[in-house]
Amino acid sequence: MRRALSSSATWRMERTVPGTDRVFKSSGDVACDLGGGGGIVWRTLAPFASTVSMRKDAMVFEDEDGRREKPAGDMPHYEDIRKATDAFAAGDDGAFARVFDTSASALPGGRWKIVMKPRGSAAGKLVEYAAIEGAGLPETVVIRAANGGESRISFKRKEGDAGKKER
Amino acid sequence: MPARKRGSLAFAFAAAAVAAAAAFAAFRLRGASAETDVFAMLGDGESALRDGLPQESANTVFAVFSSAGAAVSRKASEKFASLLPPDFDCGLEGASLAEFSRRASGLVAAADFKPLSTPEGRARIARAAVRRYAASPVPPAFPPQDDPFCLKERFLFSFAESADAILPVRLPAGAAADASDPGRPLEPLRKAAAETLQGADPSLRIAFCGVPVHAAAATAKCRREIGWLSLFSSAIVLLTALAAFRPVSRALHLAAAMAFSASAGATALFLYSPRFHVMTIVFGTTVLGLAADYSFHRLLHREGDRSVPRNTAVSFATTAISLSPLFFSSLPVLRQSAVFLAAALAAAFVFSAVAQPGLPPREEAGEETPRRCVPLFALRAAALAVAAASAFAAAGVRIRTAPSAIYRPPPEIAATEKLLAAKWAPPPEAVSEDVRRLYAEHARETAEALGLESVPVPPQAPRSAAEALSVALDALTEETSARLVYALAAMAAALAAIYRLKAFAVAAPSVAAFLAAAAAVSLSGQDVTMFHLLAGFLLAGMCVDYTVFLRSGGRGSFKSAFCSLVTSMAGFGALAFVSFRPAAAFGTVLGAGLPAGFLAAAAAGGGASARRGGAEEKAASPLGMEIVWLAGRLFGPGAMRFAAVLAANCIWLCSPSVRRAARSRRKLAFFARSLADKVALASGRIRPPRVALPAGGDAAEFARDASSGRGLFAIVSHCGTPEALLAAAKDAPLFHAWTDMDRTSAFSAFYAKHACGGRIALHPTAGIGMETAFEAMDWLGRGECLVMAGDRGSGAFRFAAALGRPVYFAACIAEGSGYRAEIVRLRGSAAEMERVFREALARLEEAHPEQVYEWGRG
Repeated sequence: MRRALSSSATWRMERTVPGTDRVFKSSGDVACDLGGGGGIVWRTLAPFASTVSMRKDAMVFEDEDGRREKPAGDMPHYEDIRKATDAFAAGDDGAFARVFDTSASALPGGRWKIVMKPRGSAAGKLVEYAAIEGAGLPETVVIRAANGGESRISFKRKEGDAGKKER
Repeated sequence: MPARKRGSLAFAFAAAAVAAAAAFAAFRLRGASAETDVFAMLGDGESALRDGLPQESANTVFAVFSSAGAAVSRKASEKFASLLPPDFDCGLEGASLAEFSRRASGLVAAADFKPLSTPEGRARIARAAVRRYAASPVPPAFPPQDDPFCLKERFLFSFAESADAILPVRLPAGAAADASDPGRPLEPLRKAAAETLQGADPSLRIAFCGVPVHAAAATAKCRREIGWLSLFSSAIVLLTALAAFRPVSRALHLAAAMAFSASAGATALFLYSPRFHVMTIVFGTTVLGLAADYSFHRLLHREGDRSVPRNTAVSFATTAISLSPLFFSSLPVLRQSAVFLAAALAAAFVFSAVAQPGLPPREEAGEETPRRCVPLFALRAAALAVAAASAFAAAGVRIRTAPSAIYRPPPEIAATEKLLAAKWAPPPEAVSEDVRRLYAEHARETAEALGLESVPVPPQAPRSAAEALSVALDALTEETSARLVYALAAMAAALAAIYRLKAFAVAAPSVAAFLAAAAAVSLSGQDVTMFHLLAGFLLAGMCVDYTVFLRSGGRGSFKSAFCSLVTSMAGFGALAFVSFRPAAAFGTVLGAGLPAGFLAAAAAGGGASARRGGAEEKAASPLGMEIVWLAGRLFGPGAMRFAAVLAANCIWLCSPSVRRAARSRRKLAFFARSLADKVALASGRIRPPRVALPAGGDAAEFARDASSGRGLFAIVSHCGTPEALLAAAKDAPLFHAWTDMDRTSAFSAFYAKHACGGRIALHPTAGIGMETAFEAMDWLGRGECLVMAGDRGSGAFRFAAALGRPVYFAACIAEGSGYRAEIVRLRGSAAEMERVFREALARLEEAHPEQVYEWGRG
C-alpha cells in the first residue's frame, strides 16, 4: 500500500449507479507522489478528458470548463483523509484507523485485500466501504457508495514506473 | 335557603354531573387526545397537508453546532451523531436541506448562478454532470434521477467551511406525528447534546431548529399559557358572579350552567372527532362565556320577565346562525369548534330556561322601578367617538397569510433558523427559472447519456414546509373570509326577520365592534389572519347579544350584559397577551371589539328605552337635538331654526314611522321650527323670536294684565307655538307651565333640559293634584302667569274659573321669521270659556292647518 502511494498506473473504471442499468466505463491514468509530499493526479482520458489533482493544500479540477481550485480547508473530510494518507505514507501504520475501520486479509496466491469503512457519519453517508485488492501493488479498488452505486477500478502499473520504484 | 331554591340548585348540579360523566365516558370510549401543532390544526391527525410535505421537512431537526473553530464544531457534530439512537438518521450535511429548499429546483451553488443564466453555461453544466457520473473517481452523492445535473452535489461541495456545523437529523418515522407530546422525540437529541457538551470546548453551543422543534416549543408554551389563562378566566368569572349575585348562592347556578354546557360541548366533540385540536378548546372556551351570558341574563332578571326567554332565544338563534357556516368548513379545527359550540350553546340555552330560577317578582322584592341612569347623550357621543377613531385607526389594516403572521418562534430557535438560512438560502426566483430551463433544454440528452428513461422538469409547486403552509393559509383565509361573509349575511337576514327595520340598530354595535377590532389589530402592528376572521364570528354574535338584551332596558339587563362583558373580557382580553399567535388574534379582536360593541349597544339600547314615550318618537335623536342647540348657541336663532328644519326633513325622509306620524312635511317643518324657537325662548340663552301683539282689544288687555302684577291665566293649544307668549308678555315676571316631564320622552326631555334659564317654570303634569291649586294661587298672588293647554279636556277651564283671575285664550301663529299673537279674553263659567276657546281655536286651525301639530297625533 505504501508503495502504491508513490507509483503511477493506468486505470479502467466500471461504475453502476442506482436507477439505471447502464455501466459507465472510463479510463485514464493516475500518478501518485504522496511519499515525496506531493499529491495524486487522476487523469481521465476517455470518454472525457479531465484531470483532478489532489494536492495537500487543495484539489484542482481541469476540464473543458477550465481550471478550478478548491482549498482543502473548505473540504474537511478530504482534509482528514489526506492527513491520514500522508501520515501512512510517512510510516504511521495506524494513521488510517482514525478515519477508517480497516480490516485486512490474505488471499490465496500471495494476494491481499483491505476493506476500509469510513468512521465519520457524514463521510459514511457518501461511501459505504472501499475494498482494495492486489498482489504487491493494489490491482483493484471497489468503492461501494452509500446510495447503492459501485465503482470498480482496475489498475495496471506503468512499465517505466515499475522499474523506477523497484530500484 | 328555601327548599324550592335548594331543589333547583340540586337539580342543576345533578344535571351538570350527568353531563360531565357523559363527557368523561365519551373521552374514554373514543380515546380522545388533543393536537397542538400548526399542521394538526390545519388537518386532522393524518393531515393531508403534512403528508404532502417532504418528510425531510416535517421530520427533520437541524442541529447547529457553533464554536470558536470549525474543527471543534465538526468534531462535536460527529460525536453528537454517534450518540444518537440508531433510528435517528443523520443525513449527509446538506442532503436533507436540498429537500428542504424552498424551490423544487433545489439549492443551487452560488458559483452556478452565472453559468445557469446562459445557454452555453447550461450546456456545460449538463456535460459536467454526465462526466461526474461516468468518470469521477469519487462516487456521486446522489443517484442521477435525483440530481441529474449534479446541482445538489455542486451545492453541497460549494460550501466554504465556517465555524458552524449543521447536522440534519431525521426523526424516526411517525415520531413527529406524535401530537400527544411533540417534545418526546426530541429528548434523545437533547440528551446527546448534553453529552457532547461535556468536556467539550467552552465555546461550543448546540441548538436545534426545524418543524418538530417549533411544534414542541409551541405546544409547551401553548399548554402553559392556556393553563394560566383558564385559571385567570375562571377566577374572574367567579369574582364577577360573587359581585353580581345576591344572595351569593345564586352564583352556584352559574357554575352549574358552565359545567353543564362545557360538558355537553366536550361530549359532542369527543364523539365527533376524538383527535381534536387544542385551538378547538380555545375557540370552544368562548362557549363558557356565552353559557355564562345566558345564565347572567336569566339569574339577574325577574321571574315572569318575558323579555328574557325571547332575548335568549334570539341570542341563541343569531349565534347559531352565525356559526353555521363553520360546519361546512374544510378546516377540521373549525368543524370541531362548530360541533363543540353548537352542542354547548344548545345545552346552555336549555339549561338556563329549565334549570335556572329568575329573581323574585318586583312586588315581592319590594324594590323601586329601575330607571335608566346612564347619560344617553354621553353614551352616544362616546360610541360615535370610538367608532370614528376606530375607523381612522383601522385604515392601515391588511390581511396577511404568511406563516410568520401566525407563528413567531422563540428567540433561540429563530436565531438558529437564521444561521440555517444564512448558509442555505434558497436560490432567487430567477435562478430557479434558469434551473427549469436547464431541465427543459437538456433533459433528453442527459437522460440518454445517463441511461435514464427521462429527466422530468421539476414541478414549480412549493415544497418547503413554510411555503406549503403559506399556500394552505392563503386558501383557508379566503375560505374563512367567505364564511364570515355568509355568517354575517345570515345573521343580518335573521335580524331583519325578527326586528325588520330596527335590525339596523341591532346590527350597528357589531359594526362598531368590528371597527374597534380592526383598529386594535392595526395599532398593535398585527396583520389580519385567518384567526382574526374566526374571532369575527364570535364578535358579531356577542355584540348582537349585548344589543338584544340592552334594548329590553332596565337595570337587570344592563347588569347582566355588563357581567357578560366582564367575563368575556377575562377570557378573551387576556388571550391578547398569549404568545401563541392564533390565540392572541382572538384576544386582540375580542378584547377590543367587545367593549366597543358593548358601548355601542348601550348607546343603541338607551335609545330604545327612550322610545317608550311614544312610538312616533322613534326617530327622536337626543344627539341631533343637542347639535341643533349647539347651532343656536354658536350662530343664533336663525341657525338653530335652520338646523332643526333640516334635521326634521332628513328624519322624515329616512324614518317611515315619522312619515306615518307626520303626513305633511310642512307640518313637520313647522314642528321643528317651533321646537327650536320654544327652546330658545325658554332657555333665555338664545335671542328669542319677535312676537307681534295686536294693538287694542283683548291683546292690549292681556298685555296690561300680564304686567299688572295681579297674575293671569292663559289657556293655549297645539296651534302655533304657545311658548312665544313669553316674548309677547315681556313684562310678566314668570310663566308657570305644565309639561310631560317623563324622561323617556325625548322631545320633552330636551325642552325641559334647556328651559331653565328663562322666565318659565316647568312643572310635571304627573304632579298635578290638590296641592297644585294652592301653589297656583300663590304664584298668581305674586303676579305670575299660569299657562295650561285647553285642548285636552275641561280641567283647565274649571281650574281657571276657580282661580278668579283674568283668563285668555292665547295662540302664537308663525308669520315670516316671527310670530303674531292671537289673544281672546275668556269670560263666564268654565263651559262658556271652553266654548269660546273652541270657536277661536277652530278659526285658527282652519286658517293655519300647517301649524296645528301635536307630536304623535299629526
